[in-house]
Amino acid sequence: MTNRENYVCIIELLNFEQMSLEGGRDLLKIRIDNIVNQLKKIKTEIENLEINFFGSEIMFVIDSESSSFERFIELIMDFNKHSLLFGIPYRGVVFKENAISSFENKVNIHISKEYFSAKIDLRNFDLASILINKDLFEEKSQLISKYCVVYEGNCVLKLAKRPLAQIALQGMKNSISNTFNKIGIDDFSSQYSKILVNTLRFVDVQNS
Amino acid sequence: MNKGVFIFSAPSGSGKTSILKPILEKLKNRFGFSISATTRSPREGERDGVDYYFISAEKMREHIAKEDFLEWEEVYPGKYYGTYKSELERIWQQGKYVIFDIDVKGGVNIKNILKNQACSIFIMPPSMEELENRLRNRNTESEDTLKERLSRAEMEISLSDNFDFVVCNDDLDKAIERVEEIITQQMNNWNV
Repeated sequence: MTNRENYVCIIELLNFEQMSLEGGRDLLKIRIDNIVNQLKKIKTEIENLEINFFGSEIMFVIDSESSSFERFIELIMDFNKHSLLFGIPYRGVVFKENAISSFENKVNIHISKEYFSAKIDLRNFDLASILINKDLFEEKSQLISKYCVVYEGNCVLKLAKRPLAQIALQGMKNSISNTFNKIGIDDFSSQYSKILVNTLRFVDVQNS
Repeated sequence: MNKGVFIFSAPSGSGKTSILKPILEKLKNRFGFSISATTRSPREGERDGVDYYFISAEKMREHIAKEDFLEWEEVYPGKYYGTYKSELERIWQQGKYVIFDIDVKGGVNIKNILKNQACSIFIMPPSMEELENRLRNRNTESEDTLKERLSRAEMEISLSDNFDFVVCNDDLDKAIERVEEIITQQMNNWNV
């Protein structure tokens, strides 16, 4: 058991369980392979990064003293965009944790207050993107503001590195809609329609 | 030895080949084309080792496992394309700059790997309508492949902000001029 200060990123894959049940093994395997490939890339570039899977959630943990945090944010930003355009959309939160981490049966258990607050934030967050915790944003504003924009009071990762031409903006919105359609947004839940609408609005706002 | 790389990517039908052809003709002694490997079948007139290295899916998997590729991608279902790491050294050894004429995701990947060693240029079609017209006028696409290409083009266009330069091909002569300018400027930057 160790006392550590960590940056933690939790990602919840949207509609993952439903897709697992309905989409069939092949489709699921393609999507999981896609995610694993992306994660592998992140893992090879960042030293001492823990990646844990909990059902439809993926958790990244990196030491708060790590000099790789900027690169981590950059890679997560790429993952964010890639997932929304080509893969499975998700929502996530990055926060700082003053925690006791313990390994039990090789599973890293996070028991901090920050972790539970972040889980609540995550549930209340209806945009398919990553939210940056307010305190962490203030602490790292110089770095994070390069990659994030404030949208409806939340700080979320940018999808585009610079303003897109009209044709590219429309292309991005169509791709995101296609990704949502692929995972069965119309058949499943009005919640996903809301998330799609908000995501598309966000893309418009950040490009204006 | 100059170890620079130029990456050219565009959605199918954007006119990339028409832009590159006169430029490469003019500067042919300065560029070497990286030849990609692919699992797709050769089209009429294509030669192995000249246009592509045509390899089996099994061979592709072997090279992926041995990490022989700088990057690889399943561009269309079941059709893999990869870029051998050895291609870069082969061309640099000849004292030439490497040219990648590559799909958009591949272009983004290579730029991410090579960073400032690479200059990436995205050729943008003027509009989706114009892109559709150009693809239809080729008379080589069935309705299904046309839809597939247009859907892929939307995704590809949305990645254009990952490139160093975006050149809109609404006027072919101007687009050629702009790409030439970018190449000359980038060569000067690398040689400083």
